[in-house]
Amino acid sequence: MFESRRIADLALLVSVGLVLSVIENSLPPLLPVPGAKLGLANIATVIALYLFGPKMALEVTVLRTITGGILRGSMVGLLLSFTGGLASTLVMILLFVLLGGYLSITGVSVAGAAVHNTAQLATAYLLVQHAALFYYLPYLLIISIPTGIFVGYASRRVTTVLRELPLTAG
Amino acid sequence: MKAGVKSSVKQKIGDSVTVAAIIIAILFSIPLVTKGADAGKPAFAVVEVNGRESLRVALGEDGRDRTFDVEGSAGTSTIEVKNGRVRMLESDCPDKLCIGMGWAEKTGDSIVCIPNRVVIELVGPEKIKEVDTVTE
Repeated sequence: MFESRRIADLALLVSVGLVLSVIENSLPPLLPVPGAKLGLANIATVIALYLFGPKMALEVTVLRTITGGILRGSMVGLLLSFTGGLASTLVMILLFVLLGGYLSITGVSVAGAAVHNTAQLATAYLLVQHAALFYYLPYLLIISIPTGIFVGYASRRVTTVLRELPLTAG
Repeated sequence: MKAGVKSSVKQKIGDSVTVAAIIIAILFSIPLVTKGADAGKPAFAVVEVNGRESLRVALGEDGRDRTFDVEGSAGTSTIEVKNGRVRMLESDCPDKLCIGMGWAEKTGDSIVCIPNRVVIELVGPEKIKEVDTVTE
């Protein structure tokens, strides 16, 4: 019973992440910079981290980036969102576990956004092998601050509400 | 259930430290943007596919307007050269970000298509000598 509850929660969070990335992909790009996105799907990971813990957050990220990449039918897209998602989730977990007392959910999310963009750019560099790509690093770092704050704010609202409900009592 | 949730709401000192750390990283990465951007007239558009130079198109005086295709990993990229400027006209990649980048016109400007592994970089005349010493 307990295990099936956990699987249901995981599936729910992965679905939330997928729906958010579908919504995000239907919006026009923020900037003509590769990887410059709001990162809405990261809300699912942040919620998982704060409501269920590090293991759930990691599982949500891995599952949503792989399934999302398959749905979009783009291997490059899958690789970029997987590496960016994995690196950012690992850093968010580290900050949450080690420095949770000093960082709010917004701080963790901003750090996650910055790491996500940097890791994605590094992966893109490995793919195209051209240093001109790092031209985009400052832009990607700059936008990671507002997008990280937005994702952190949204996640904070959701976790505050969900914590009051018996839904996530497990 | 987790103590982290309750204490996660208020803004904390670490948040400012995180943002400060990112701003420092931005300051350090700004030279990456300005290094190539000497705003001079470019002499050539260098097209690289999978990290290898596939062609080099003269711009400026001896350049003429034209479009041409390059084959990348995801299909064909169509590049347009007009009035000494270069842009991605068509691309088989899924996201079309390279087309959205618009015209590249200054030395150091680049257009990148990650899915198709195509990079177009505008280089100045000073780079020609450098490249002339390389033989294939």
